[in-house]
Amino acid sequence: MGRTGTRYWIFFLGTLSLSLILAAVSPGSLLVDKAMDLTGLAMRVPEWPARILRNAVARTVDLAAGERALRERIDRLEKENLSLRGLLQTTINFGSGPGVQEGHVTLRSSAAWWSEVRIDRGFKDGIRPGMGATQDGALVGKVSRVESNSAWIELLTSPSLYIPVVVEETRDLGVLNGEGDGNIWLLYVPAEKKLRIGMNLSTALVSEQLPPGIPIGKISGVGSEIGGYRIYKLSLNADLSKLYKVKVISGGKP
Amino acid sequence: MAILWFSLLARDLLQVVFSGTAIVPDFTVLALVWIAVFRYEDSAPLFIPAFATGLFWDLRWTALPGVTSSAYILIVAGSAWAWSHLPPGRRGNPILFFAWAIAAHGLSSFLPALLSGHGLGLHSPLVSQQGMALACVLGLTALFIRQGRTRHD
Repeated sequence: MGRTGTRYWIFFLGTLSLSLILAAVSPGSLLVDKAMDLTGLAMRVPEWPARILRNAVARTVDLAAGERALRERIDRLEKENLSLRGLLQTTINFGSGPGVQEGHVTLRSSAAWWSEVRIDRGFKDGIRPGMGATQDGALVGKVSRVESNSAWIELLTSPSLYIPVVVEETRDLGVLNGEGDGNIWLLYVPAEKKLRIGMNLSTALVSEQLPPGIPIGKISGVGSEIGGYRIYKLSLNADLSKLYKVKVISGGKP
Repeated sequence: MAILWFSLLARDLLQVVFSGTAIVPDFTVLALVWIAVFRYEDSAPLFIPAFATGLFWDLRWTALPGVTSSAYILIVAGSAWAWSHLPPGRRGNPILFFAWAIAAHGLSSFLPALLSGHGLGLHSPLVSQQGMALACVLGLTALFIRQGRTRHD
């Protein structure tokens, strides 16, 4: 093997092994998360014209279809709806009143597909940990970490997220939890309560950042009984397979 | 080598423009195939740029660092190996170039999806990406024919 051949194999095997080691150790690594955030931050400047173009095209299309006015109306109604929900819960003080911040999903790791997404809104835009995120008015998750220009949203399907919910038809309370594979369950409902398939769930009064009454989904199946409590399978109103944009409910108290 | 970084930037910017709508073709892998088939005798200096561009893409878009870079490195090695083992008369064959470029593009697109198990299926955006890539590879093959004639002249 000549010198050129040796050099070839050194470069080939060196770079390939480095790539494979990275692929093996990177899932779930905080260091890699930081590197991804840094890359996103570094590319904000060169990508700026592309973002402007994307937003301009989207605005033009919206205008042409007459959707812009409708969207503004929906935004206004959503804000009004959130305020009314806050008013209904007289013990809650939502500070300056809830608002919404729309963010594009910029990263969804395959290794944590059902756990979290990153959006292009962050601390500078008023996003804080604990705020709720919605898609077409239905809850999709909660903000878990915030950087200056981006934020991570933990999805309802994440196995580490527990959200207190209320069954709207019966006012029974329970806790929603994901399995990490797209399935989601309602926990801690006493076995004697007979909940039916199709009953609706919404957020319960639990924190000053997540308003009560945000629609979540429906009961889609009855599970087993464990220790006097029955679990129920849920289907979400939000479509997590088509999660490109979310609205973060801002303005609550931390 | 500038063409490689230019293709990466172009792909990144186009992906920002089309985010949520479509997955743009992998221009970087096409640039790598192009460079590798013309430099098959000394392809060693290509591995580090291939690794760097793949890692950048993984950090920016796929969130699986190492996967795209592995695919790029294998494609460079495969291109150099294939072209060095072809008889001299067939190295300028546009059909071979077209077939190899399409296969390389498919590998780099589907490898992350295969490893993660997401984004597969007939209605996947990856399928429409392959359709757009087909048009790009046809254009690149035309350039390959032109390049071959220029060299011949």
